[in-house]
Amino acid sequence: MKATDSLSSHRDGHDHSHHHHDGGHGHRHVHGHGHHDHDHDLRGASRRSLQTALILIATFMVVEVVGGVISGSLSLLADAGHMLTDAASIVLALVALHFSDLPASWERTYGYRRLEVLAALVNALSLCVIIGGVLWEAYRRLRTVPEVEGGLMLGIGLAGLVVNVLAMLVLRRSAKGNLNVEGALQHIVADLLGSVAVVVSGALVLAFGWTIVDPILSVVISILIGVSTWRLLAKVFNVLLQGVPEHVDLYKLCAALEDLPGVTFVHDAHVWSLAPDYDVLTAHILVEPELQTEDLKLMRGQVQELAKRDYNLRHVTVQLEFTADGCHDEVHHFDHLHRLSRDEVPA
Amino acid sequence: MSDSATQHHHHDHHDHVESRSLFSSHDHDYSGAGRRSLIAALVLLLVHMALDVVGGVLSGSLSLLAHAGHMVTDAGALIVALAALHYGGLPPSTERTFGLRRLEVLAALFNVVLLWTVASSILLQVFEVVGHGHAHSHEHLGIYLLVIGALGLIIHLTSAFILHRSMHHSISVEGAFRHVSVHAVESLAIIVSGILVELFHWDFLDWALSLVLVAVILFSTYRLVIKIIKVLLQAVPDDVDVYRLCSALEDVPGVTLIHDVHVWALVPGYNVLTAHAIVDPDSTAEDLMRIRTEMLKTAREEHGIRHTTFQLEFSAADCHEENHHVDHLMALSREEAGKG
Repeated sequence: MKATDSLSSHRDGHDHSHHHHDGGHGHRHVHGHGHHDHDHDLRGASRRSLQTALILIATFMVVEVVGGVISGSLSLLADAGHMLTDAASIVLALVALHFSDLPASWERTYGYRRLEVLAALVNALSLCVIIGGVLWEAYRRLRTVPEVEGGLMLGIGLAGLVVNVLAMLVLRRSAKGNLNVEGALQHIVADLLGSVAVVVSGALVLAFGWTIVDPILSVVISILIGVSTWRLLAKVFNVLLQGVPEHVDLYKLCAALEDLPGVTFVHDAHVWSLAPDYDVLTAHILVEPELQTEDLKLMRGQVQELAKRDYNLRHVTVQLEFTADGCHDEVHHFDHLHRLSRDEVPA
Repeated sequence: MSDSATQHHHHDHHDHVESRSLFSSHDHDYSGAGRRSLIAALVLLLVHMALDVVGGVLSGSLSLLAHAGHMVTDAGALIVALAALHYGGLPPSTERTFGLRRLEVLAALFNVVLLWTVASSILLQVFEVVGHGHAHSHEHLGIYLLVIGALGLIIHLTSAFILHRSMHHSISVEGAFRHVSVHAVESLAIIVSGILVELFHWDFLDWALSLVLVAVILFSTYRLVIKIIKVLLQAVPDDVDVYRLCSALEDVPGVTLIHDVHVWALVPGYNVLTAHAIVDPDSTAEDLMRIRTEMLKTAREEHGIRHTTFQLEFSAADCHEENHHVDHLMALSREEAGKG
């Protein structure tokens, strides 16, 4: 993968000669294309589905605003407001997706991939605010039941329902394993549930005049939204806390690494996610002291293959050590041995 | 500090040392302060906040509410410091290999979001008041401002005294003092505007002052937010120059090239480095150990790195990594391009 001419010339000091320059260019070129191919497909698909959903929602919103202004209906305008928050969440996801592609630099060695997770965080937090708003509105309606225009509500609700279902179908596939899209999707789903509430309570108001149904449904729905928001937040927090991704069992991973020939034991192992589709492994591995250069090479290849194949870890850095004193790290966060002994101690 | 130190032998001496981290910009440094004095300061703060809120609601004073809003930051920061002391010291697990150290950063973020909410609600109220005249304000607004401002001043001086006593040998004394002095000045401003409102009925002073206090809130969080976002983005900490770090590592005899280098901060002050290094293929086991030791020493002593993982490779083909994020070579050519 490397331009070898740059390597051989490198050792002649740090005067950073032209060889480096050339090598650097060739290098950048190679990686600029190679590494993101699979990635780009997925991200391109996410982008397209977000754009489609945005067009759907924005179109419906414009229709609502025009209709609201012409008819003077406040409920149409209010619903347009809901659509605006959906559109905003999609725009946020798109912006994050765009900027997360920026290349790595000396100030950001991981690039901006994390932006997607931060966008999901913002979307989750704004959902919390929306839940608060819905509950407050429900409380107000419980105290003074407003006059409800059943027929119009029903119409708006049905139309909104259709648009939201379409947007949800568009986004659903991309949302798997992409927190960013999931954040936008949850806004759509929240709005969808809101539309269901409008339709159901509109129908009941029309049929029986049960105005109380509306605030009750609002409460139920805000609870539903709350639960899914909490799930999203938990995933976001796990990433931001540098937690181990859900699909990785670190204990098993360490055990598998220790089963490799020549490995004595694994310590100071860390697995974390830069973004949900990009996991990082770093570990210190104590190996048998009589291993030769070739063995070490082979072992490193095996470690990387195992990490990639079984756990889809995209970025691996392993430090092979010959003795336990060889490791001078002051912190041994997760120690495989430590865990073993903890397990053996009866709880 | 000492009670939690015994539970995990790996974490004895360093865990709480850098709890200050995030708040150093905000001039909070609670690391040396005992839990008890933190709690005492928190209680005083909450009492003062309650006074401000009650006074603000009774008198309709926006500046009192704004001042209470500012104290939400402090109360939040104190609670965060306490929580970080507690949870940050929990041992790592297979689910969280870094423990819950990052919680401190997320809690600080939560704190900021809370503050912005408070600030924006105060702004909304100011607009309402300016729009509708001063219908809400109490006839004795000036008295309220005067009394509560004076109480606030007393409380700030007391908590300064408490914190000062327990942080006696800490560098944080200066920071804590500066912070408390901001509050004292705010309290003084409230007292002065109380007098003016009472004497001349300059009721507008109240909302003008509240605008100033909102500005102080936003200003005080600005740098903190930048810091938080950098940490969450896994950005290189400000105190590390990756370029120089790479050069220094390449100066270690036996090292040919550093590539795929990453530096990030778990929390501010706790910097993590991972790098792949291509070394002389003829290196013996002893050479490799020496190289690693020297690299570690360089990173730790000269570049403030706390946690390192070096992957030593014998040739470029030896690296199976699909991504080479920041390549030392790449930036070299960039710098050269920049000069030309």
